[in-house]
Parts: sequence; C-alpha cells; structure tokens
Amino acid sequence: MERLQRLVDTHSVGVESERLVGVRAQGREQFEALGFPTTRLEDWKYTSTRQLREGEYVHDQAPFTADRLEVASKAIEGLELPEAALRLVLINGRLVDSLSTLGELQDGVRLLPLGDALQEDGHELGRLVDTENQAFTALNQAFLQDGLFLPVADGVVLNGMVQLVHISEPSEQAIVAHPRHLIVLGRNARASLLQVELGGDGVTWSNGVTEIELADGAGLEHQLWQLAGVGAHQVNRIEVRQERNSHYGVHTMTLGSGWVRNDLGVGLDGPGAECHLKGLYLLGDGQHADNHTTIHHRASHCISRELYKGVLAGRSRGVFNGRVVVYKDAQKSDSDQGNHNLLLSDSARVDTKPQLEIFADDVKAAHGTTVGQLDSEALFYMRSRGIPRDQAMRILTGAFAREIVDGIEDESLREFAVRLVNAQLLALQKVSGE
Amino acid sequence: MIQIKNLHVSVEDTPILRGLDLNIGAGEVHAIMGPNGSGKSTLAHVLAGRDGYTVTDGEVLFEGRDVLAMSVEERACEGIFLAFQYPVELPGVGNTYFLKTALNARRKHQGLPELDAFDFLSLINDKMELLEMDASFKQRMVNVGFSGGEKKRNEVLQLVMLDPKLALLDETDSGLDIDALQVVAKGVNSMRDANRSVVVVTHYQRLLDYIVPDVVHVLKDGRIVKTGDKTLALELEERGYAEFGAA
Repeated sequence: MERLQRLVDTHSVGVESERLVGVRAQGREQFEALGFPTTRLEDWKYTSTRQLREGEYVHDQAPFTADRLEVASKAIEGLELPEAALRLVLINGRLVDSLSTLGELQDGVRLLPLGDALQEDGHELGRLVDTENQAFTALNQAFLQDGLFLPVADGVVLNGMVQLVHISEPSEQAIVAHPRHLIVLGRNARASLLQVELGGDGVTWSNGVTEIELADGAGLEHQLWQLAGVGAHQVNRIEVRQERNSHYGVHTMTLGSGWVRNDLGVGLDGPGAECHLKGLYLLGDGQHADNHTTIHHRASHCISRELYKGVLAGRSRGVFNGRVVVYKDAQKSDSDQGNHNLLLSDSARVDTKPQLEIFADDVKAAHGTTVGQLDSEALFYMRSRGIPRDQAMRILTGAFAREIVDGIEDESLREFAVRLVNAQLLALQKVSGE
Repeated sequence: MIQIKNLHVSVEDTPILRGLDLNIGAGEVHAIMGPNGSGKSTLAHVLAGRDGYTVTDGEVLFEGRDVLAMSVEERACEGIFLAFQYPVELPGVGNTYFLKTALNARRKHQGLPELDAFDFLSLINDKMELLEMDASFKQRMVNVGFSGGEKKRNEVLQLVMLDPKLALLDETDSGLDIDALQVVAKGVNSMRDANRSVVVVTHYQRLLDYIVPDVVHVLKDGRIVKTGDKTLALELEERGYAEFGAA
C-alpha cells in the first residue's frame, strides 16, 4: 500500500522502546490485512471513507514554532473552556508541553505520556479494542505516538476536571494524526474528563482511540466536543469497560468537524454497572456525522440509558446506529434508547437504526426513534405572541437540544455547553435561511 | 378598532367565510356566536394570521391599517391577541421565559426598552395572583402536562401580560368548570377599558354571564345573520340556532 508507506515515511520516530516498535508493527500488519472499510460493510453503509482512502495524508513532523503555538494558544483561549485541574494539549497528535498545564498532581493520580504507559506493568494498551476487526483502530496502533495515560488509584476523587484538547492544524498537505488515550479508574475512584477536538478549516484527519477502564464503584463523567473546522475528518473510537456498580456518563457533542464517525462501545461487565450515553449533533451545510454505539449488557442488574438528538440544516447528513446486546446471563438488564432528529431543511437527511439483540429473558428494553420537522403549530403559537419567526425557530430548536444540555451536571460545563450550542443553532439558522 | 369588510375566506378551496362584515369600536366587547362549522374559529384564526386560510375577497383594517398584509408576529406586536381554543404545548420552553420573550418582542416593536427582571417579576406575580395561578406555573414548560383548564388560564395569563388592544377569545370557555370560567372572566374583565376591544367567540351563552358583551352577533354559514345586544345570547340559548337556518 503506497499510501500507508507515505504515512510510514512521514512518521517521526524518536528513541523508543522495542515494545512500542512491536506494537506499531502489529497495527500496521492488521491494517494492511483489513484495509479501509467500505460502504459494502453494514456498519459503514451510510458513511463513505473515500475521502480518507483517497486523500494524500501525511503526518505532521514540523517543529512547533512560536507562531504555531501562538495560533493554537489563541484557539484554546477563544473557546473559554471551564477551569481545568489538568490540561493536555496535542497538535496533530503530538503533545505540546508548553500549552499543557499539568500542575500539581494530587496523590493517587498520575498523568503520563503514552509511551511511558506502555512500560507500565498491568496497564496494557489495546485491551478493550479489537484491532483484528477494527481497521481504524489498527491504523491508530500502527502510528500511535502521543496521548494521555491517566491512572487514578483506588478511592481517589479527582479534584477538578481533566481536559484533553486535540488541535487538528491544517497545513499545505492533508494532515493525519492518531491520538491515543487510556484512562484507568481504580475502585471507587471518580473523575471528570473533557475531550475537545479543535482545528482550522483545511483538510485534516484525526484518527483517535480512547480506552476507559472503570473498576468496581468507579465513576467517570466524560464529555467529547467535536468543534473542528469544515475540512476536519474525525474517526473516533471510545471503548469503555465497566466493572461492578461503576458509572459512566458521556456527552458526545458534534457541533463542528465536517466529517465525523464516532464508534462508542460500552461493556457492562460487572453487575449493577450503569451507563448514560447522550449525544447531540447540530449539523450545518455539508456536515456528516455518524454515531455508532454498542452497549454490551454482559452482567445482570445493569442499566443503560441512551439519548441522541440531532438538528440538521442545509445539505447535512446524520447517521445513528444504536446497538444494544443483552447476553444470556444478563438478567434484570434495563435498557432504554432514543434517537430524535429535527430536520431544518428538505435536503438534510438522517438514517437512524436501533438494533436490539436480546438473549436473556428477564429484561426491560425500550427504544424509540423519530425524524421530524419543527412543529408548525408551535411556531405559529409563538409568533402569535409577537416573537419573530427566526427567534421562535431558534427557541424551538434550542428547546429540542436542551434535553441533552440540561443533563450536564457540572455547572461550568453546562454553561460552556449552552454557549456553544446556542452559537451553533444561530449558525444553522443562517444556513437554512427562510 | 377593527373593521372587517366583505371578508371571504376559503380553506382548501372550500369557502368558509362568505362576505362577513363586522365593526368593533374601541372599548367594546363583542360576542360571536354560532353553530359548529359556521366559521367562528376561522374568523379568529384569519385575524391572527394562521396559515392554511385563503382570503379570496374583502379587507380587514386594524386602526386603519391592512391586517392581512401583516405577518403573524407583526399583528401580535401591533396589539392583536388570539387566545387559542387548543393552546400549544412547547416542551423545553419555560413559561416565564416565553412570556418575557413575547413581552419584550412587543416592547421592542413599540420602541420601548426591555423590561428589567424585577419589573417583569412583579408584573407576572400580580397577574398570576389575579388569575389564582400557583407560582409553580412560572417554572413549568409552556402548557406541557397542563390540564385543559390550566391551559386556558395560561392563555389568559398571556393575554393580561401582553396587554393587547384587541383580544380574540376562541372558545375559551370550552372544557372549563364554573370556577375556572369565573377566573378566566375575571382576567378578561380586568382589562376592559375604553381603549381595548374584546371579541368572544363561543358556542354557548355561559361565558357571557361573566364577560358581558355590548354586542352579540350570530354567525351562520360564513356570514353575520343577526346582531343584537346581550339579550340575543339568552334568546339563542333558549331557542337554539335553528331558526337562523335560512339566512
């Protein structure tokens, strides 16, 4: 594969362990065997990878000049992120020390560059992902370099939020990056993670993988914000494994980033584990967002809640595929899934598919999907009270999105969310015009 | 206040109003009564600007201006208010926020500054007290999960908050028990003055015991077939609409 060779050629390799070299080689072999997924595969039916396959992507090897750092720093500042306890900044998949605020780490918390993580006993990268079947994960492994390794010891509650900012910075050539993160929470540990994808409008491709392990009683609140520019392609795999009575809450917010494919997998492996998956995609003209989620109810008495909502304007395209598997021994499983879409234009399109596979007999499982337009009665009602049409539309779409935003418990995060969501709704309205 | 001349309105090519004439002066309360299908609600909706109605002839002047040329929100801002027969639920939109947005939209149109939070709060508190509404309605989503009576009360709350020049009440009495009816009437009566007009569209005479009209019209087959004073309503209640059959 000539394209793969170009990636190899542009991948800067420093002094690295034999182990890392081996891991990468394995990823490369697996990717070569799998190749890019095509729309012939059921899982990729509505999302073509042609732009990734045919793009002439290279890795960013250029040094971080003062100018580049300045631009990145401004982009982060402009976002007005909530206050962070720790912030890790990567540009095109490479860690930028000077923009990261690692601060004083509290006892029981460590933050390591990924390379070091591979040397750690007991913490193995790739335990939760399947590089034999997931092409992009194999590709990520083939070129893995920087990312976050965050182990939190038993019983430790992290003070403040951990932020992970990835900037896809375009250059003259199309840039690809492979950020890779591993978060491991010990028993009864608690943490809040805000992951942000930023970037300019040029052609970039971020191929990220995040693995999250939650031990008994652990809890993670996770936010994933996709805010990069129109030329940004984002392939994002998040795999979570939950032990007994652990709790995982995630908000996947796709407001920017021209082409997005998210694969979110959650394994409820211990009894009493609970996950809450929420997503919001607010898509403007030309944007494509595909959310594939899989929840594995492997143990009994687990709860899964899932709600994704989309607002689509212009010629945008949304895909939702929510798979829930309840295994034979997972009695008393309780699962609820919903996907609701609001189309603001005739040329917007959504393909939504719930996929329930139930092998246990004592199970509660519900799902519902809707695709609709703004309620004309509601619009008339508001206008009849003097509210201008544009504003009424914005209020109604905001109300639709609100259910997701209101679910964000942390106040500073919720305010952050309200601000970004309102701005995007305003932008969508301009796209749809009259 | 409002002059309707020879108004012809169709819905999907079916004529509903067929040459309706109506003049309502400032400070007057008019009742429009009529059997089902006579065009009562159509009249209310056309005045508010709802889609789906085609005006094929005639004109409507509100304080001398062409109402039919105005957008829905423009009519509202100019002071025309329609209390809906079936108020719409707005999930995710808070009642207070909604009222404040509407009120400020109208103030902006009038060239007035936005009402500050304190003034707004004292206004809404006063009006809710008048309508015997529990404070919890402020936090609730607009009409979501409201009973039929609560929805109507909420309509009247919007009416008294927005302070229009012309209030159109479309079957506001339907689905109300006698207590709620009295409260609703109290709200409407509180705004009666020499500069404001009210049109009560109703099938039954009941509401008119509480909102006493100056003029009563009988609408039949899209035309006003009889006009009288408040005794006409009582007459109708006794004898029904049948004798207005061949208009």
